[in-house]
Amino acid sequence: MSELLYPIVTFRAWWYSASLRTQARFQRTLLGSSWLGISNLLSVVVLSFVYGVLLKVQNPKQYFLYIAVGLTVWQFISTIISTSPTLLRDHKEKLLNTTTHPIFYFLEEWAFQIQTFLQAWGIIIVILAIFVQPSLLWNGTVFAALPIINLFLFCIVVQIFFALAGLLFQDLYQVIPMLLQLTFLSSPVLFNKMNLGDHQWLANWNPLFMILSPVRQAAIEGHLAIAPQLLVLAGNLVACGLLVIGLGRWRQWIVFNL
Amino acid sequence: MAEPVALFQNAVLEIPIHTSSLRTLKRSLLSGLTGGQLARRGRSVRVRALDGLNLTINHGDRLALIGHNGAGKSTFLRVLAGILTPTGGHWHLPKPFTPLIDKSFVVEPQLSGYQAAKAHYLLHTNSLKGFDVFLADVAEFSELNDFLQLPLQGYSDGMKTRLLFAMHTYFNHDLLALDEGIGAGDRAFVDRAAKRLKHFLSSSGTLVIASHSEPMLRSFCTKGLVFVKGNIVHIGEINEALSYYHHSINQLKHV
Repeated sequence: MSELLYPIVTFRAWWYSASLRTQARFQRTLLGSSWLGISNLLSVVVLSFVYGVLLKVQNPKQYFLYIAVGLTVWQFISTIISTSPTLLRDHKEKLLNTTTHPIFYFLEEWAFQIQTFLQAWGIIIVILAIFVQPSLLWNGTVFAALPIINLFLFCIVVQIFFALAGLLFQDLYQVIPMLLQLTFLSSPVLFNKMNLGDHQWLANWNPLFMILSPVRQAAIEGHLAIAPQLLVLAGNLVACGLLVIGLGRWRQWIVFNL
Repeated sequence: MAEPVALFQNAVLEIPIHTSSLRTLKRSLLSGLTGGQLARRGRSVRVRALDGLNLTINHGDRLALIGHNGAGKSTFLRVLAGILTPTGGHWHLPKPFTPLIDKSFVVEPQLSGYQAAKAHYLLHTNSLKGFDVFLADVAEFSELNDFLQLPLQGYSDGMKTRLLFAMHTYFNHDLLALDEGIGAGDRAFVDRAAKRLKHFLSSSGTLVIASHSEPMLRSFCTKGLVFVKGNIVHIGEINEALSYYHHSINQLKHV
């Protein structure tokens, strides 16, 4: 039981450690961590303009909104997955020389990505609520809260899974960037799901899109399917618990395979 | 009679050695086609880091681990700390030792000494209660004071050593596994640190030190364990164990 509570008990330590990384990253920059939101906003503006023209969209404002929310969530998912291959290796010395639970390093990275996401999300929500859709402020903070929590939990589960699987199969580390790119191109992030026509199953069976879509639906349309989301939450919590226990048990195996 | 704090009977620790070619999807797929023969061949390289260890550590023992680099001293400290577990034999470790093996900061070098101290404190206590006292003590002992607000990357090696030493020796531990180098530094620092180290180590109930510094081992340990190739070849009073170690080195030189 104490092992399951470890992430909660040590919350302050890993959250602080993650915020220090943000500080270190933007040290000596004029705008500091605001860059996290600004860079995301710039990508959204450029991509929505380019793809808006290419796809000849009827309603550019709505398309901008669609891309902004989808891309912000996608950035979070892809960054957290792409860091998984090197995460354990980066902390090899600490794993070998301290008794800190291995989950700590995942939590620290996860918290760092969450802090990054929340800054980007905050800027997107506020700006789009002012210029495009005022209801986004309410939807993006209240209705999207549960899907966002599920997004966070799902991502740490996937991150741990890939980090461990990569210790068994080194090739996985090479495959992940390619898989992410293919998944991005085949997921309705930049285009509407309807555009896939008979191939909509590509989106329906895409686990990353399955976790992205509810956030976007809740934020833009204010639509929240509570029962399925609670079910996903329960599944995520069980998976997180099992992984916390597993990481503690597999510590030696991890150290030997780094 | 009190229960021993650690007990090992014929304990073995085997460490698998991998090369990148041993863990690929291709190899795994091939092994599936060939009945796993390739995978089994590929995974056969193992190193015995600890080989048939027999030892009982009682509360209050002050042990010195003596031996060449690679003899198994640090591995044994990791086993005592619960970081590694023997892969064979019997062992009983009711409570893991606190390891003082890591000699790096928790935070990145762009960050300040103050932030490093805060992260270190949070990692040990999970709260900031008492942090002010900790910080004052660290600042005073390390003599860094206002320098604590500057980035670690600007520190000299001496400043880093002083800061790490001050942070590591603040908390008292009942069972302590200490690796060499924690009290190392320039002559002036070693002299200044000796008093604090003495107090720190004397507050520990049971102490195991791995070090090449004989004055340090003689000061803090009563018993010496000589390690050779992952096994304890001699256990005795500290001066006698050191003599045994020197004698075995001289014999090797003549061979």
